[in-house]
Amino acid sequence: MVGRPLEDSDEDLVERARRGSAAAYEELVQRYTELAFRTAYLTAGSAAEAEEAAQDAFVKAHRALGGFRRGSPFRPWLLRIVGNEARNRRRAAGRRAAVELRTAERGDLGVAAPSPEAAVEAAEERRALLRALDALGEEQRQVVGCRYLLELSVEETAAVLGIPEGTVKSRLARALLRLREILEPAHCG
Amino acid sequence: MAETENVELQLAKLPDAVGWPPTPDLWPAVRAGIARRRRRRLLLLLVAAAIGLALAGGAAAAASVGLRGALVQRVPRLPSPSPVAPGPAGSRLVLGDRYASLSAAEAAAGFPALAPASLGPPDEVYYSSDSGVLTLLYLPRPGLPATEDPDVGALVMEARASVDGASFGKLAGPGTRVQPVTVNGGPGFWISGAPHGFFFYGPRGSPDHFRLTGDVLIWNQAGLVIRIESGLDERAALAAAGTTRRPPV
Repeated sequence: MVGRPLEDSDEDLVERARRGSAAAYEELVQRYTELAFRTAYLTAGSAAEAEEAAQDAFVKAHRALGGFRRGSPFRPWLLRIVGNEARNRRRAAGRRAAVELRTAERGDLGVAAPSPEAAVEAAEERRALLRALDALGEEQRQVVGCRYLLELSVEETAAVLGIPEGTVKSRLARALLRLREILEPAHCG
Repeated sequence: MAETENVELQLAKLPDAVGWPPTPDLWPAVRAGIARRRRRRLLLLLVAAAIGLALAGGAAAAASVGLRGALVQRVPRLPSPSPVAPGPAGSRLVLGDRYASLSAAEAAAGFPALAPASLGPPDEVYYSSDSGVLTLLYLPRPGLPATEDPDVGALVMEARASVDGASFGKLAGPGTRVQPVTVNGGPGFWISGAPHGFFFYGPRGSPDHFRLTGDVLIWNQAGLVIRIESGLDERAALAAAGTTRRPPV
């Protein structure tokens, strides 16, 4: 049996990065680039601004490592910085985040469908759901995006959006009801 | 409730189905950004050392006058200004991030801004989270001559007027006059004559980006410390400052 080296924990990498290891910080950046970029994309509203926001967030996080509380989780701390950067960029541009969510272009998405008809139906269901998401107000869309598209925890969502965890929960509950109304108007009269 | 659960089930299938933009490789730019911050930190240390040296050299004759949020200190000789980065006025003058509107800059700053009504709407608005200073930039035009910087007619810079620490620092050499004035009922100074040194205090109270500046009016109003740097003479600067108020939304 071939062994695989254990992946360093965030805590180890943060500690090494604090002591000046560029390699350790590079590993943290590589580990969280996709999540940071997508998180910024949901808030900033454009891929170009999301790239700059995520990049600046990593630079600021590196600068702030000295004040990072040992033993606390790195991911929500980083996501809070990413969220701030993305919000500032959106404010600077003076517009709302207008991310238009699309389904992936690949044909092999999701679970295997029993038939071509079922696959088409499933794809249409996903498209309808994304259209419904786009139709939500910005606050509700962002909270759903964080929880379901990025699969962030309530704590992480609160950090990204800069709101209390209770607000995340109440906003999410309202968003789910609204989605139901949009998707199935006939049942909600 | 069942329908809401159904929506949740559908949402749970979405992460793999969303067509995200391709994730860029951020590390090269992050590494360069970290290196730039290190160089800037070194520069700040040099600025702080130069200012400290100037103040120490003039300790016997030093006198300082202050407002809430600003400190003006007398020195026998000014240190050399920081190097100026090429680029637009906002970058050259280290004004921070440019915002599309005053209200957007106010949201980032966290305080309502004031503006001299007689100057009209600003041409550009900036806010620096490092110094906490919001800046309104007015381009030169008839009646508003260019300052030392040919792209700037007037800079109106404002920050919360803290009693604990200053946002603006000024070093006045022998050829600079510092006269007390009153603006809209608040205390202030008209600083004129030979160019004087100007710097921001950074978030930890350390001096940041030292540059030379021409005539300036600085005063306290409505919990803010406000400075107008322009090519206007004392009377015109005081007249403009007298119209400072909340701009119409």
